[in-house]
Formats: sequence, C-alpha cells, structure tokens
Amino acid sequence: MATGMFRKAISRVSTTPASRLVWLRSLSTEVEAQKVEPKARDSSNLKTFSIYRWNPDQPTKPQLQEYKINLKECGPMVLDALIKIKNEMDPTLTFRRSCREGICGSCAMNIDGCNGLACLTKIESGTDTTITPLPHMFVIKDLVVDMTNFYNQYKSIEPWLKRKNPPSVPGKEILQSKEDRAKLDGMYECILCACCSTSCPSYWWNPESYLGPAALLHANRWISDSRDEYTSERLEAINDEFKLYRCHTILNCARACPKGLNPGKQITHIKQLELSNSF
Amino acid sequence: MGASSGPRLSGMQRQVLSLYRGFLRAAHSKSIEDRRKIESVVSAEFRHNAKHVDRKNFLYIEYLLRRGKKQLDQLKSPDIIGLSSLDVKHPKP
Repeated sequence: MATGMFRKAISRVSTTPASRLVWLRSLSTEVEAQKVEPKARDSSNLKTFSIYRWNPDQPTKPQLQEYKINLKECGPMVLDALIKIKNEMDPTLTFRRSCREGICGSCAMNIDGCNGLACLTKIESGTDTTITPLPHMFVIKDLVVDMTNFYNQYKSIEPWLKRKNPPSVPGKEILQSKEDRAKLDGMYECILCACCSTSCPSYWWNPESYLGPAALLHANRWISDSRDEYTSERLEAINDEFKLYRCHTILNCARACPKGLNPGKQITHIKQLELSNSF
Repeated sequence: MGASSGPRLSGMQRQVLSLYRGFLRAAHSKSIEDRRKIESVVSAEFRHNAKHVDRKNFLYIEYLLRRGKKQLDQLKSPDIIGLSSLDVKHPKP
C-alpha cells in the first residue's frame, strides 16, 4: 500500500531530473525499512513495565527495572507480559505463576498500586505500569514473597471439619440441606492469594497478632458450616482483641479481592455471632 | 554494661547470636556423629557471612536471619537427622 502511494507521488513529479532523484531515493529507503520490519507501520504499541527486582545472591538495594514491551505481540493480561519478559528479555526475572486463569492464586502481586492476580488483571492502555511484590511482606526474590506467616495463620483457625458425634450412618458423608450449603457461598471460593490481607492497613501494623481478612473469612466459613460441631469453640478461639478485633472495617479487602468476595462482611458476621454468644 | 559482660551488642547482633545458639541447641538433639557435622556446617556458614556480608547491609542480614530461622525450625523436627551443604560458585556481580 505504501509503495503504491509513492508510485503515485513519483508519477506526479515530472519536471526536473533532480527532484525525481530525490523521490527515488526516499522510495528506496522506504522499501528498506519495510524489509526490516514488515508490520512496523501499525504495530508499535510500546509499553514500559517497571518491575521490582531484588536478588539475595547479589545483595544490593532493591530497584525498579524497566522493560519495554510491544503490546501488539503480547497477550492481554499482566501475566502474559511477565512471561514474555522472562522468555524473551530477562530469564532472571522471578515470579510465581501456575494456572494463568485465576484459580491457583500464585501470581498475586501489586500492579499499579493495587493488589491483584497478574493473570486476571488486564494491561492498562497507558504508557507505564509498575509491578511490585505484595506490600508489607518479606521478599524472597523479585516478586516472590514469604507466605509462611500467612499460611500459619490459616492453619491456626483449624480449617477442617470437626465433629463431636460420628456420622449417623457409619462410613457415609454428612448431609447438608441446600439452604445450609448456600450459607457457604461467598466464602468457599477463596483461593488464599493473600491480596486482601496484604492490602489491609491493620494487617500491615499487626501482621503477627491480627489474623487478617483471609484467615478470618475461612474461620467464618467453618463457623457457618452446619456440619461442624465446634462452632462455639471456634468462636471462643478467635474472640481476641488482636486476632479478630483489629478489623476496623476499612474494607480494602473487598476492593482487592480478585474473586469478588467480601471478607469484611464475613468478619462482621463473626463479630455479630461473638456478641450474641456472650449474652 | 560492665566490662565483664562483653561488648555492647545491637539488637540485630543479638538476634544473630541467638540464632547461632538455637542451631547449636538443635544439634544437641541429634546423634553425636551428626552433631559434629551440623556444628561444622553451621559455624562455617556463620563465619563466612560474618566475614563477607557488609555490616550495614541490614536488608540482607534480615533476609539471612529469616532464612536461618526457617532452616532452624526444620532442623528442630525429629525427622531431620542431618545437615549437609553444597558449594556452588556464584558468578561475581
């Protein structure tokens, strides 16, 4: 198409041989440029990704490293860009990823100041995106953070079914009505990506003593389960000034949750139960 | 602090020393043969880092402390009987 345009231009230029020479020269450079980049005309949508880098084997200060990516040759999600950088530009870039469809929770990170899963976050059309690890977590390398404390808190709420009586029919499952099952909606979907807990200012200040939105949401999941017979013991175990009541309903958790859940609402439910339990 | 109680240590220095002590105590719960090996590996690691890590590089020392605590927790488990190390040559930055 471009060559056609130039041919027209040449035919229009008819008078002096000098001017024709100029046009021919410009045509030849244009052809060369096309040989180098066949699709260059409509496909250079460059975007800069500033990514947090820190390597424990070379202990310098952490820094933001910039990568320029052509969005026309990249998938739509932030994780696609990260994988492209790792594959084609810098194999030392380290991050967790697995399912690339928002069900494993591995790729939780802070993208442009908001916690989210890289695989569920679209690349914004602007020119610059900053990617850092989850805030207020200890960094192991680049975008990989230490989740030990988070998992220990999840473990501390005993996330399994506890019974005082054996099931009515030995060796069979414990049945549940549809209404009772519906009470677990909005909680069982949680994938423990830690986006909510690490967005909570209260969790930033008390990461050891406050359980955080994710663990409390799971606590409520087992408190609300009709088959669980340790409801009052569970309520008693988290009835603590720090474990539970450091939640000040800031509701950053509901904003951050990539699965669209509302941990703040579930914590409020626990608080209501604690109130009715104490009288 | 009197002269008898040694030099005044910063909080981080005390953390490092208590981690080292924790390793030695954990080594006590293993068999004598393993204990010698664990002690030599641990002491070599601590002495290497004491010599090669910049004492003002707090970020890195804190990282090493967290890593050490995790390894100590693993070593405390009765299922773990020994410790060995592998010498990998890192390219100089």
